Amino acid sequence: MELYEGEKIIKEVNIEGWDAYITSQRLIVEHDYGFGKKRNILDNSLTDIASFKVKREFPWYLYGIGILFSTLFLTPMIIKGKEFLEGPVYWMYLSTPLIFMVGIAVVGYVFFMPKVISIELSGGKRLAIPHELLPVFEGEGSRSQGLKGSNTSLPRSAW
Amino acid sequence: MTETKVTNDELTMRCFLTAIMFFIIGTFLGFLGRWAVSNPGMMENITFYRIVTHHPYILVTGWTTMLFMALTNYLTPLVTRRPMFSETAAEVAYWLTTIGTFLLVLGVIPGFNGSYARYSALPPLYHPFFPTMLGLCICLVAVFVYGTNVLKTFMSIPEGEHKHTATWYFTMGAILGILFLTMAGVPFLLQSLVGLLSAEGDIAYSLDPLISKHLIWWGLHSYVNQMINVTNLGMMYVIIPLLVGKAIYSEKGATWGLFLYLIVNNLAYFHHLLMDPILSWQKVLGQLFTWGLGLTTALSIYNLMKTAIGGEKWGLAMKFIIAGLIGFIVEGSIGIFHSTLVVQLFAHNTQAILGYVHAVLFSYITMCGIGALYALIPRIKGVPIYSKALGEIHFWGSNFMVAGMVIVLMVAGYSGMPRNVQEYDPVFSPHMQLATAFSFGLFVSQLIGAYNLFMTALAPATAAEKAKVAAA
Repeated sequence: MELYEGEKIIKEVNIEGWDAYITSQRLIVEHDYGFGKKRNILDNSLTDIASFKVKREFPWYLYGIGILFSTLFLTPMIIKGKEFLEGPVYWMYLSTPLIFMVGIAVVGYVFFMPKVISIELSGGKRLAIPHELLPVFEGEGSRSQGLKGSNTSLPRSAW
Repeated sequence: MTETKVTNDELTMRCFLTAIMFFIIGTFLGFLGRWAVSNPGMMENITFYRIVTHHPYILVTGWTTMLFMALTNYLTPLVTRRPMFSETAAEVAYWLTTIGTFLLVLGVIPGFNGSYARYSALPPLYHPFFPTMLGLCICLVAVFVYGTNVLKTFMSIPEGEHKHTATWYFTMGAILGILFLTMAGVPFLLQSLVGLLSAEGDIAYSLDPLISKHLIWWGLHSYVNQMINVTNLGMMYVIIPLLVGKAIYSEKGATWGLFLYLIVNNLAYFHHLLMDPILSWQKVLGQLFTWGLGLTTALSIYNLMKTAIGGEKWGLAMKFIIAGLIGFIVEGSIGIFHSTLVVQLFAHNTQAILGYVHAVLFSYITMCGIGALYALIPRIKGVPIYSKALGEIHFWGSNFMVAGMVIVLMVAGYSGMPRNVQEYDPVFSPHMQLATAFSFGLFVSQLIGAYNLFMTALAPATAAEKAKVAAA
């Protein structure tokens, strides 16, 4: 990371391959993708940050795929499955998508509902970075004192 | 240590170009087979059967296996920041795969006595064996050499050092590839020995046919799903972040997705035997685990999609990869539908199965693989892609032609048209002619793409271009 003339780092947070900096002019976030050199994820003037908020993302698409696959799995067996299976075995078979959907809910919650900091730039572009980088936004000098917890948005005018 | 010191650029490029060459040969054979189906009598039955037997073998060994070996040998050093355990082993695996696949190509030529098994899981039909069996055996040894090299590289990472998600995928893909290809190879090898020792024309069993089918399908199913699919997913966990300038959406999700996938994958192979006299619980398990297989792959697909969306503008390479990810949703849907007993009753051994196989191996795996080539060849050579316009033709041609072919084959199959036959009800003639037209278009698209990639690979790079590509 190179600083401009007269620019100084006000706050820095480093977590597992992520580096976030608030400088006197910019918000910079870098990541190494798990290997290699650090690359810029975000490098914008502080005045470009329209808003940001902490939120959890919901894996709608994952549930969509689960429902699609379950429908394709069940439809043929509902229509003609009784020719092959009968009694409790048939009903146990038909109930298995329920078990798998519970599995999706668990996996989705644990791995795919991360708490992220969603940043909106003045050009309309949105970026999400791990919420563990939140401390860089907090405290003296970051001009976002008082930001706590989730769903807190900070409009540009508040900076 | 910098990236250029640890990666073997020269060997990688050689593997890429050889894989593309075999890809074109395999695709041409596919078209030739389709042409023979739509024009019954244009070639002898035995020649037709030789073509449809060797077409998948050449594409699985010379194209997908060679390509994913090369990708692993290039990307593993990139993510582990250390060279492969043995460059000689990587070189040996390349030559063995090349020689083995070359023998498979020879097997198609009349007079070279290649296999005309049609359906290779039926051991009694699986002879004569030279050069088909010899070629497959050599490719099996290549996978052994390659897998051992990847495992040793993985083991050379000091304990406690962070391992990139893709490292797990490459290593699991490689060692499970050895395991399952060996499993499938056992009945082939036994049957080849019996075939060689028995009198000409005899049909001899080396194993009980049902046990043989269990071993072959457990091995082949798991090889494609682990060596090919798992390595493909690992490749995308490196390439997509590089191309879109974003980190993996959920690294923990990627790692756990792999282990869940490996658990459910191993008993899904029963779906290949639904019309055979296997036990009822095996049929039920086959269906349930196929569904689990689709869902656990979907975890990675979702993770990769979330990584790709919102990043830098998608170039040609990313368009191929995204098309591949969408291809997975399509093939996964067809696969789960086909894995039910009810659908097997009318779809088993029909053209619909060929439609599904092309959705898996082309719409999903090959599209992702081509995306990797469009991403890495310019990077390694330090030049921009030869022609973006040809790349666009390649992309849209591939998508349109493969989708058309899959749809026509599915319709024909569901209507009762069997696979791998030259004589059939004339009502299916329009379907087969249309499928031939699409397969010709698919072949031409790949020819254009191969030309574009070869010209990129062979272009001399100026210092300014090298600096520009390196900066990108």
